Amino acid sequence: MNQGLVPFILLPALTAVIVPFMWRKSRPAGESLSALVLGLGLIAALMGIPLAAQLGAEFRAGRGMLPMLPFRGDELSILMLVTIFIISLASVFFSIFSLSQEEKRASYYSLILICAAGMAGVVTTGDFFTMYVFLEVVAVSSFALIAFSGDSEGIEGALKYLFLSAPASLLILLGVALLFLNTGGTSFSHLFQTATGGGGSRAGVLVALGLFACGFMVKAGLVPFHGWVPDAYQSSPAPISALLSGIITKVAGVYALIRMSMFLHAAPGYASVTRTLMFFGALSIVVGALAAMVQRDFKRLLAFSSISQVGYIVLSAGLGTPMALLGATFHLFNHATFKATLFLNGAAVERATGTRDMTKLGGLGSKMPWTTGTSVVAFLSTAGIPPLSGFWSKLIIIVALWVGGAKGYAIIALLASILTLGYFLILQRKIFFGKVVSFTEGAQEVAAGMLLPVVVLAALMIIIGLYFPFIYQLLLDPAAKALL
Amino acid sequence: MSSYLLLLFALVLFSLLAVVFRNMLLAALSLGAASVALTLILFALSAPWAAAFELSVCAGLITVLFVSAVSMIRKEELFLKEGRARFALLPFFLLLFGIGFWFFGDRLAVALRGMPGLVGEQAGVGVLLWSVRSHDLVGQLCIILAGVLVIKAFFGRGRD
Repeated sequence: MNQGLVPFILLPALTAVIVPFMWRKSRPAGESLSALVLGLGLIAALMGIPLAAQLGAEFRAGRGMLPMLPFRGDELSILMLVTIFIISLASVFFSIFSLSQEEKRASYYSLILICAAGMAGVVTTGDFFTMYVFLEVVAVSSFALIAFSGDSEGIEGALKYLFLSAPASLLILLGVALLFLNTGGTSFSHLFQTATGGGGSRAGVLVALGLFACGFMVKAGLVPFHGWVPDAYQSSPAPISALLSGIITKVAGVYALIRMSMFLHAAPGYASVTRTLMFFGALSIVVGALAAMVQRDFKRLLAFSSISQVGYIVLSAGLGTPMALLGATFHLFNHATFKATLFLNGAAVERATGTRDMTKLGGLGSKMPWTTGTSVVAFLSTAGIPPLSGFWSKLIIIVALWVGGAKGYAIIALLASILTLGYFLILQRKIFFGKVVSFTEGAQEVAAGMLLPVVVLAALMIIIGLYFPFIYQLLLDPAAKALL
Repeated sequence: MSSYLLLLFALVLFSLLAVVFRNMLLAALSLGAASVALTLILFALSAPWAAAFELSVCAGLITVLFVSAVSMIRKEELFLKEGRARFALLPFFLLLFGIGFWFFGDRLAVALRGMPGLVGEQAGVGVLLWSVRSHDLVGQLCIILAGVLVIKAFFGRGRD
């Protein structure tokens, strides 16, 4: 069991090496192997759920998961691993059926695999410097995936990502250095011990935490550090947009912010950091939602919507109460599923009509019923309509904010949820309902292979929503307890 | 002491080459080599943590980032021929370094005399990296692999 976490990193990384060689013999074999390994990773992560409590106990006891390689994990790590492998698998599966033969390359699949390995490394380490190293693995592979099309739009998006991501990495690295200077180590436990009064310079740790917060907020794409998000999401291939929005920004930025909140909630004297997180979370909710309302390109609309939804997660994480952390982690998972669905469906619409301009679309509901159906489920879940999964996570966040004394933020979150419903109703009406127009006349439903990932993700939103009490008992409640 | 001087010389030489090369790929690789030399010096000077971080960040991550970025540059700009005029500066810089060493060499020799032997310290490099920062090594391998894949993705396209 202790060796359980290593295959999440080593298996995808080794497969990333094998795929290019296999590609020369048979392209389908290379593609299938990529999907198979990610599928195995998902199964292994799901098998970890019953062991989550035991893993968490070892993690909190400060023991490594494997004597040789001290990767660590707890309930939150398992939840993150499940999310990473679900979204990566959906992206690879969609790529297999959606990319043309000219667009397909072995390195594309290898880069997704190495990105998945990097993300798994981030969520299974107990050390900030190791987290930084794996964050760079994610950054380099994401940078290449955004630019993969090779056109000027892709290169521009990738460079914007790189120019904002590199300074963010520098801030995180400076934070690690300061943490090391002030606590004598770079592990989570060093930070926790110092934060709870176990020695070290409090001022130095506070500066280190400030640097971490800035760096991770850039990587999470929070306002005002969101400049790279719309361009990167818009210019990358659709499965990569789904991967970026669904999981990469969560792992590269939001996950670390949740971990930080976990330590700071228990520590007196660090309220300024958590208050700052809450402020930027709320700002992102409002700015993202307002900006989404005025977009014509639906990929950009989804990008701004992602900024807004990430704001919910960070606002809740900043509060740091058990219920707030539960809401943050649950919304993180939910946002990964519904935003990946929407980006993949966006690609299906673009393929069928040749445009992303919403003013040129209409009446696709009758032409693409499966794409429309799954999109509507994802829209409603994002807006927090019962009984879908997004309803529960938003409800938990808003209740946690209210109970936790942040009533102003609770009202902002509630009002922004109405804005979310508003811009998704606009999008829905413009694309799927209304009259068929010239661009949509010849549109047809996409291949079954492209529909399968979105149907599965939409089914997840419905099932999780309907069986919320069971999911809560099995995974969410232990995860929330683990965070404190 | 001669090992220290050799590493110091390598550090200066690779740093100079990083500036002098017009070919950006070679310049990035030279910078990586300079970082490796600096890493070994830090290890030898009993600063293993600084050395491990230098190896991870500068020799590993930064080099991969540079090489990845360079791989996206158009082929004709990348494979520029090295002008001899630029290399003519190299002996000049080395001469400058030699003059500096002439003046400060004695003091450096005194300082290095008290240092532990380089060969003995090198045994600690592996121990530190494998037993203390072993998890970083896995990350390092992943990032090098990512760098190779980026180069393959973009150079492959250039050849097409």
